[in-house]
Amino acid sequence: MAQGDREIDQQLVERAQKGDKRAFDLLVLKYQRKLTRLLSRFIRNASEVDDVAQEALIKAYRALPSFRGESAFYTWLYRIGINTAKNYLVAMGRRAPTSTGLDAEEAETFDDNDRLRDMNTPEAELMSKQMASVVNETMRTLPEELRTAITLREIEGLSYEEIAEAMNCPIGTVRSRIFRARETIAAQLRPLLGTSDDKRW
Amino acid sequence: MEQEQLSALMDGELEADHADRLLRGMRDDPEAVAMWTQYHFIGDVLRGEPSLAPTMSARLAAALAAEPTILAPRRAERATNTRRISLQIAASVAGVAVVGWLAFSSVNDQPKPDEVIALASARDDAVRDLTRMHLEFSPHTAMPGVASYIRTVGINERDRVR
Repeated sequence: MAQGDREIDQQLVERAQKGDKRAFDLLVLKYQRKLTRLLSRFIRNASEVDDVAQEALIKAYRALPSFRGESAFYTWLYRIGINTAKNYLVAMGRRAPTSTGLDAEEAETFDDNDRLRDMNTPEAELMSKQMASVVNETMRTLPEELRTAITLREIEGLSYEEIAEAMNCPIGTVRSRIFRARETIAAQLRPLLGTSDDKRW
Repeated sequence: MEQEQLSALMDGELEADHADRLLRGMRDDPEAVAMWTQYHFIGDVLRGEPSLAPTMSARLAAALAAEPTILAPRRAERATNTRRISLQIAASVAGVAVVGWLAFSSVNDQPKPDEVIALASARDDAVRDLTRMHLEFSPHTAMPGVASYIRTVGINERDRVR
């Protein structure tokens, strides 16, 4: 988790706790891919993973009043996801895996490309592959200072202040560079979106 | 400029009042929500995390929309650990007081709901909103607000995952 994630997550949680449902949507949009990836570790079938992910997210929403920010939101969400998956497997008469790291801390860092590739439909797989390669290709064409700024932020997880120090420029410049990098990449992604029945944001 | 603010917001680098204003505006701004999602997707890809396309299925969106809106009691903002613990103790004491009050009042005359709610929400008016919002879950008693409050706490305890 990069610096700053916990702060914005907590802010969104507090808004959702005050009745702003959209704030919870933003958390879902941020973490549902990671949650799905985590669940695909335990459940192979793609539509089952979707069902369990949905159940976990609804459970999280209902339990949100009891979330007090003592752990990070994503750790809490992953734990709900793992419990939901375990219960699902038990209900289906399958044994929950015990040795593959049913653990929220580890879940953060696991890497399981192959499994995910297996369970995606060919179209979904093609789509996400295409989008990933657009991101990586556009990254290569970015002006050096934009590429460095977004790399330090997204990959190294540095704060704006740390990036400003590393790049020897004002914080406002860091902020603008990171935004321009994101926007340049997103502009290339947008033509690929909106081609499905699913709601694409 | 607002888009740049959104980018800074994602990174937790926007001042609290700006963030608040932006988040409020985002409730009715699908384009901003789209940017939020795309920017996060870009981050996932750059970190080499296997990338699912940035979508929310219509089914999930509908299921979330169909959920009754939750409303949790407001917490003291930026409480220090010590203060948070003392508030929790205070909350427990308040809870015991409410239960005690209920136990006591059940053998005496029924208090008006508002009196009990006022006790329960000595620290926080949001509890009152919460009880009112969840009246539909309440069994038919002389004290609908109180009954639903107890019910809500029960659900929280059961669902708590930590």
